[in-house]
Amino acid sequence: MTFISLKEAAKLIRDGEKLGISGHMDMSPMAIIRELIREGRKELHVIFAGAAAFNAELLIGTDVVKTIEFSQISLGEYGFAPQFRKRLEQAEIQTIEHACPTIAAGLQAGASGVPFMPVRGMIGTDYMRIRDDFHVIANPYDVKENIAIVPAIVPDTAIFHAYQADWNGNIITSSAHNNRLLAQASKQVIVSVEEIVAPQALRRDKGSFIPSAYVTSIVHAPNGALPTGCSGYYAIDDEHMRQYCSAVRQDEYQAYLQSYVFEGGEDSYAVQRR
Amino acid sequence: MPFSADELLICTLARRIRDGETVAVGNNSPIPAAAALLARESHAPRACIYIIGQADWPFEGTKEFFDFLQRGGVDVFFLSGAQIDAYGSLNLHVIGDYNLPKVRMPGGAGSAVVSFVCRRLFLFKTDHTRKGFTEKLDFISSTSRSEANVYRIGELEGVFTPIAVLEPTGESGRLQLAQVSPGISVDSVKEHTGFRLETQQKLKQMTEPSDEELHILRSSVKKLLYKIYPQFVISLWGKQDSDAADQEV
Repeated sequence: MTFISLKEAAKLIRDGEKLGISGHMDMSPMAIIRELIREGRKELHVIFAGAAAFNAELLIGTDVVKTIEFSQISLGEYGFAPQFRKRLEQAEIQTIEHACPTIAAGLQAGASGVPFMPVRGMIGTDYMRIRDDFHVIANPYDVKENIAIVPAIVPDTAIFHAYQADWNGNIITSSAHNNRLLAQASKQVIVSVEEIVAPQALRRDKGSFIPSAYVTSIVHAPNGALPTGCSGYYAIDDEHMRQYCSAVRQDEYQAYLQSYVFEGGEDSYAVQRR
Repeated sequence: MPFSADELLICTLARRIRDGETVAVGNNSPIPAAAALLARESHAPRACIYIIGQADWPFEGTKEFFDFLQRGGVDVFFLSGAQIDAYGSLNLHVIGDYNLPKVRMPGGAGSAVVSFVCRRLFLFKTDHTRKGFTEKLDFISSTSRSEANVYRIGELEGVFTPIAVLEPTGESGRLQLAQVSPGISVDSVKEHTGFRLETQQKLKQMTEPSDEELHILRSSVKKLLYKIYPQFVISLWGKQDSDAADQEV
């Protein structure tokens, strides 16, 4: 386990690899995502560990992403995700579509080192038509029953945001997202954190504990989830999200990227948003 | 007391929740979240409610939540769809061709699994139009019926909109008009429904929200809901000075 900078984190992620990302309108690892865009990463296969929001939206508008593996992408209370909608309506991005429980099941298979996982439901839906790697098998323990199976998901790298890391690399993060599962399934795990604390100061009561066994690198990135929220630290930046939605409505996504991602970098972003 | 279409829908859903039931609410679902909270704050004080986005989330991620659902932990779940067909299957994916859609929607979230594993499934739509109720779906995100060799523990209770309640009827389970809201005619509901809709023999009128329900909704439910869906609360009931102070980061 190492402590690294944002720049070093982006360099650990290779063009074309499978990148797992968690978060929604809270706890999205936005600082690392912005660094990936600044670095000009290409052809990533991004796997969202649950329903996704601004983390997906910002990436999908750029050339960083070739393929998205996802179950639902919207901006929560801010409505449809416009870049997601636009690029899919123009068929500019490859999609591998899941139900939320099939992502969780695939990651669980990855975390357990087994090739697939059975999942309830699914049979009779069009997921089975668009996913030629989802199969229906007879339950070997009760042949009267059919059940769907989905393949393991093993991201090359996982990135997520957390509240605290201690000096030894143990993490406390939100329990609302599949961070622990994502870390367990992935080969390399990079975590951005609000605070780095002494081991005795780790607030285990504040969220999910992820042992350093699953953590490769930690980036100290205060405000690193903005403009998404980080419970106990800051709320969603409502004004910023309204600005974003209005900018995109006026076809000014590139201008938004220029102002908030490229110019001045992360420090100026956090200062502007404070 | 006057009420809005959303409030009528919330109250109609809330009344169907029984005391002691475990009720779960998924992403982007402020109306069912309000209904679940209203039920707990009124006739179902022992209802156990899990709302994705709530501050004190008891599960590890959504993974554990969906595991809990799959093993039968949840009695009531709510789903919506851009299109709903006459048998309660729904489309949350695309309008038009899947590979080159006219409109791409956010996606199915947990719907393809939860509709099989909750005991009582409620579908809802905040509008009631021909385009929203179609004989055929552009994409089947989830279904409400299965073959006998597929595990399914629950049933569709009905489809709830601001003007009507449709319920599966008879052997076929095809939706029929079961309730109309005050001031709405049967013909008007049929005109706004894209699939052929028959009327149940004992058609009822939807009960208007009582003053007590509206009071609870606009006080304690509003306060609880604001922590999860602030924008929805503001759009439905307006902003109050105390709202900002109540917000937890």
